[in-house]
Amino acid sequence: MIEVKQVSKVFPNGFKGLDQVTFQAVKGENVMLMGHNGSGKSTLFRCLSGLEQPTEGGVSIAGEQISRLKRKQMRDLRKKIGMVFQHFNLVSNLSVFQNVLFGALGNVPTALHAFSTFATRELRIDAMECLDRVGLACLASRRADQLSGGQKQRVAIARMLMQQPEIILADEPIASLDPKAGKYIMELMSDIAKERKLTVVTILHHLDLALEYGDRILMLKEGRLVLDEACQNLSRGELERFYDTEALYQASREGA
Amino acid sequence: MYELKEKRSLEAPPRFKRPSLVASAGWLVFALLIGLGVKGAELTFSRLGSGVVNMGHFIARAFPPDPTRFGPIMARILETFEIALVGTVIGVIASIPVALLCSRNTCSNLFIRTAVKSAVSAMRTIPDLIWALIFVISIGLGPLAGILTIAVDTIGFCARFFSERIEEMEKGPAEALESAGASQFGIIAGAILPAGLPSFVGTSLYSIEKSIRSAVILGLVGAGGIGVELSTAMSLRKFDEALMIILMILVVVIGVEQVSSRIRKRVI
Repeated sequence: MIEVKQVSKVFPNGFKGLDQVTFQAVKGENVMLMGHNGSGKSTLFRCLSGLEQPTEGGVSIAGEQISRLKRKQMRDLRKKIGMVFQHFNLVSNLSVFQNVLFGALGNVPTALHAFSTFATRELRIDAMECLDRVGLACLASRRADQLSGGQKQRVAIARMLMQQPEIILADEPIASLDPKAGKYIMELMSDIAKERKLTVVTILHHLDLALEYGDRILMLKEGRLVLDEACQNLSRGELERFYDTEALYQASREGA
Repeated sequence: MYELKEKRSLEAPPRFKRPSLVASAGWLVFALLIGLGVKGAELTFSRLGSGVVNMGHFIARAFPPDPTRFGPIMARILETFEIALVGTVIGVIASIPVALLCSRNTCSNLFIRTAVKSAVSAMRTIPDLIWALIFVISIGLGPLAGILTIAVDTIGFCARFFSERIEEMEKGPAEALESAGASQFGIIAGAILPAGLPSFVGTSLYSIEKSIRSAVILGLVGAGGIGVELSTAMSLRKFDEALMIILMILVVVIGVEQVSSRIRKRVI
């Protein structure tokens, strides 16, 4: 489903963001992407969603080589990729229901059809079902900025479900939530991914949650992939040692 | 180490800094202009004194205000209000696409952006009375010239503030919709306009208040409205009628400001 082959990214200022990164994620796999700030996680994400073109190597998603796509095809591909953001990115002065409907913006004939007033009956029902899946059907007519952080992230997930994605890219989805809400979100995303056989890549800084909900853990260090291991083969202690800066530094030197 | 201690000084900074040569020259020119201005306007105490006396005469002759022409004046006031309202509505509606064209995050073409931005600042910097003169010459006397003037003035004002709001907007929601595969139009309609709406409404209401004041004056150059009545009454020295007009203008302007501040409180 996701294939990253020897991807490197060198920025115009000469900084090497990614260095020969290669990995695959198959359908239904839940991959946790870890690494310290500046390790290249976000750059890799931007390459996966097509916001950034790698300098070298290729990214293919759902069988399509991203670098070969034209604008229109890129938009079509984006519909298949559901994004979850750290700051939820809801339109704060609109209703929860309206925000969820916007998830369908890529699939409606004109943008107006994604507005509550003009949306078809089917689309409105779909939106309510997505909201129900995250357990917030009762808050449909609330304004988005009246919700708690955890609720906002659930609405954002409902919006992402409206796209009927095949892949979910989650960029630190629980970084601005309290531990309880964070765990709830991880549980929700993992359940949804299982029941719909979605491929998920999540950027996460939380070791325990990564081991608990991930199938596999990828670790980046200075743009290089230093760990790619199934969660069942990793103990908490081992992961911790990898996450630790010293150990990472040594690991990356040994790898070089 | 010891030396450093010795050199340490507890002397406070000087009270005044000696201004640079350019700054001194600037102050000199400034003072000169003030002096010339006061002299040119013949601003003297005797003149101010006689001014107060004349003002007294005006007030004495203006009281009581003359209500005999209440009907025609009211009709003109209504026309003024309509000029302001229609002109502002046209201006506000036009401001939205114009603002989108001069914001960095909605228009990536530098050439278009610069061109539209310059046009908007021309609309803003040329005073409304001059626009009115231009429109009166090109399409003739009457309310239409006034409406166009107000519309141009509103675009100059609203498009700038709308665009500032659009540019300072957080990128997140737009990014989210883009990642869902939304078109450029979808992103604007779904994320940018809704997020800007409260601020747009506030700016538009303020712009109506501004337009009312401006429409009162436009009559002076024949662009319709109450201004022409006022200037006629003044030049015929019918001060009691002039006072009536001024009072009625006051009532309308205050009324509009009250209504608009109520609406603004509700929306924002």
